[in-house]
Amino acid sequence: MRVLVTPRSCILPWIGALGAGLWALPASELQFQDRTAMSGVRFRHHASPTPNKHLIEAMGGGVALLDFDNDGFLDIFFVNGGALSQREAGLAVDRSGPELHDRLYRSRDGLSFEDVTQAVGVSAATKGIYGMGAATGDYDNDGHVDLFVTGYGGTILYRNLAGRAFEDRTEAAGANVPGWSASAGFFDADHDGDLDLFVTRYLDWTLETSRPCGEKISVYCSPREYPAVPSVLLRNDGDGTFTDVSAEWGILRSPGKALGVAFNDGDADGLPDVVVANDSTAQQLFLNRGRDGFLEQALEAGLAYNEDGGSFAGMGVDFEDYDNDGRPDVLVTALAKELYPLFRNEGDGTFGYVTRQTGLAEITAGLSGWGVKLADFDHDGWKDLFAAQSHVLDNVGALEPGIDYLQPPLIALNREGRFVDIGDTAGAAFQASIAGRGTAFGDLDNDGDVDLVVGVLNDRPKLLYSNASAGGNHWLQVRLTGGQASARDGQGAGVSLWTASGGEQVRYSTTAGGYLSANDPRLHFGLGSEETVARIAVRWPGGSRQELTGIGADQMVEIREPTR
Amino acid sequence: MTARLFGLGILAASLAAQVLGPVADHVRRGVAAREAGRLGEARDELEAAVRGAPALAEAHLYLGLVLHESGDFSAAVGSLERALALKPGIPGAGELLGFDLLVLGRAAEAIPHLEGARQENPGNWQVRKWLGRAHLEAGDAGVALEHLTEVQTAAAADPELLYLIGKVYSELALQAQARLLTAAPESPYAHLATAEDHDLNGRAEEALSAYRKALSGDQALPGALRALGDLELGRGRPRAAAAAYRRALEIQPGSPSLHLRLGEALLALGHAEEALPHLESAARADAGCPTALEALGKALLDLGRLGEARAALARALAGPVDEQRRMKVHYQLARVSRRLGDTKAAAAHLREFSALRASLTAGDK
Repeated sequence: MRVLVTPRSCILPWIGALGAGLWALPASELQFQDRTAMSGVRFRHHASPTPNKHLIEAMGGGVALLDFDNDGFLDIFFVNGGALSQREAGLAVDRSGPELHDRLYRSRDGLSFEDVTQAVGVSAATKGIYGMGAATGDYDNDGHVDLFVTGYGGTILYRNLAGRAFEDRTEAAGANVPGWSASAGFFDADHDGDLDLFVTRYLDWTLETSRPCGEKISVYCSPREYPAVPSVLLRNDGDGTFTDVSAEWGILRSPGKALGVAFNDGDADGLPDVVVANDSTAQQLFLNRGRDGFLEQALEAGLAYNEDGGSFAGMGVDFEDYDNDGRPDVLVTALAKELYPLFRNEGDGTFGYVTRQTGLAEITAGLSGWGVKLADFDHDGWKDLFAAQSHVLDNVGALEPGIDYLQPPLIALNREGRFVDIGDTAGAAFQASIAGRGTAFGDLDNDGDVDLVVGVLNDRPKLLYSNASAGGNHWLQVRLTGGQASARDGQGAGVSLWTASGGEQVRYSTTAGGYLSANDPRLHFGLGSEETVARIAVRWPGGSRQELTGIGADQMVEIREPTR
Repeated sequence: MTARLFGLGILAASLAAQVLGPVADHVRRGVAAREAGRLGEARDELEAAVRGAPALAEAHLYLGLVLHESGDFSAAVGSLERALALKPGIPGAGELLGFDLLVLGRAAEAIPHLEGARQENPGNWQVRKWLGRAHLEAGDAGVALEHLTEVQTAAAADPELLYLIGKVYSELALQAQARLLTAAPESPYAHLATAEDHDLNGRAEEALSAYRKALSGDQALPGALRALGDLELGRGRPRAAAAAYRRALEIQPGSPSLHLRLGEALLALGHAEEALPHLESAARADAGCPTALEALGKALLDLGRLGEARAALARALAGPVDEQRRMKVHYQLARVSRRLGDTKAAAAHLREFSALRASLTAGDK
């Protein structure tokens, strides 16, 4: 077993000066500073909307935070949309203009970024794919994070070549998923030590079947107008290729209208389960039955519908433990008047709808959410809520007075299981209405707290930096590195943490979740006033268990899977 | 049929008895053509008869009837006016003329003819109805209401009568509101009237503002408080809704619907314990009300009182409930049964739920 405990002073030599200059705020006042303008990020999302209201124009795009060059700082990958051009064979996706390219920004120091898209080869300029989302994971276990891009018209698998460039391995690896794919995520479904890939697909929709809807006003069609499609599960064969096992593993028999996906061990059997957010149809819970594949059990588990048995427009999803009972719960973002359904894991295979009881009904009644995350933004030991927001219909105001198309993001603190909206005090970004979509979460400046990058439809993204680490609460980050038995990037490991006073928190290592986006692989814990972590237990997907004791707060701990 | 309706059943015989020679031939052929439904031919023959006997009021009247039946009300009015000029008070002419003038939108002119017809035949409820309609169209809703309500018993199910009564009340309401807005534009009741108009027309923000203005002038308007609460709840603001319902309940403490609304608002806030007594009160007041029972079941489920929740939900299903609510209640019952560990019942309710849901969403792809 090898455990590296990296003191804060080693990895963050500059943090003191930065904290004194920018983040001298009281702990109670969590704020996010919009540093987009000074970041060097010039990306602007282009959905290229047309009067024809093609549905793809309303849905993108995603963001991924990944340290592709292993320099310790998270880089940012933006998925662009595209334009539609009329060709002889009909409408086609055009990504040729530089403004239509996907973009990768390398982090120089956590605060400033440089565009390295052309140098590393991830523009997707020639792929003919209208971009949607991104997933990250080290699928070839070489120590360098790889990248998967979804969209309408196909997908792209980029293999990371030692942090210098990316190689398009889509066809060679058998990783092209046809149709309209949305969120995707790497996870080790079969616990064989390499990352498989779950790819959600939205609708049986094509440019040929596309049409506007609405009587008096032309609007984007409801997903109810198009048939459902099954998501796709690609098994990593361990030799750089993937095999579509959707049929054998039980995914194919449950079509949906999927937009979001998240992983965790919902039934505590040691195997990763899959929650899929579906738009206007039942949500899905694919329980992992090991050799028997997956069994879709959302209806039986109480997760398919809201408390009245009604469907909702599930878009983003997170699968995290909001009430610190050690069991992962499910939060889904939806459209205005549908609330953001929160399902508490009851520990008996079922989930209870607790949107009202947690204050979320009151907070989210008029909101429409996409990217979402339960994370401890204020370091008090309870996972808070962020959602990027906007209605899907750009002209909804004309149809439903009182419902806004553009909306500010939502930030709500978790007060021992009940959420409180703090948008009024959390910074200017929470007063500005935008068309928020995919959002990625991670510690951009390595100061210990959770920053975020919000993708904005047809606009520039928002890089929002948290000031939580400058407050009085403590934190801990855990970086996992798998050995031979588990995925190299540690995805799939479960980490439990006990503070000196006995509080327990549980996290599951994954970069997936939310909407169309991929997050920091490091696990983040808020510790409140606790200066010491009594114990950390890691359950590796390869089967081994590992414990650390007596760890000081406010540092990043690197834990490597023990060799057998 | 129409002739009988207008008291003209014996007109043809009366007319035939008064003419001779070629005019009589035209009359005979005209009457035969009309009775056979050949109204164009009847019109031609009767016009020829009128040319042959221009002073014969019955001929003009019969031609007027044919023109009326042909839908040519303007021409009918001309013939009927000539008939009445030749023989004032000729039976049936005033009634028919009044009706045709009404059809042509000349309500004020129709009224004296219809009034005459009413006096001639006081038991004819149709004439009273037309009189009501004429007065309504002439802008005198009050007199219209008198006529229309007079015949309600005789023609309780007549669609036109019911429509006209509704229309009259609506007109009277508008007139009263207009007077209110003119006489006391800043009064609470003026704001209340404005608010209700906005509310009915789906202008929620404007309605909210007007309700608040009404309440700022008079805090004891339970209708305004209730409507304000409904709007707030509909817009996802249960806290504001609960405050409005609470104030309304202070004024009307025994109102079951206010208890239900407050209970639902408190439930939306996640305050099941506080909601419970209100929902219990609503369910007690209307023992079979499925809305109250469903909400009560939901509150009890929140509070972990699972057996009672199941009982309340089962009672909600016992009454007359539409399919949408039946679907919801089965889903709730499945949730409760799961929590009770009764997997068999949970599965049964889920099956019911799924079947109802499939039928209700059959149009979705």
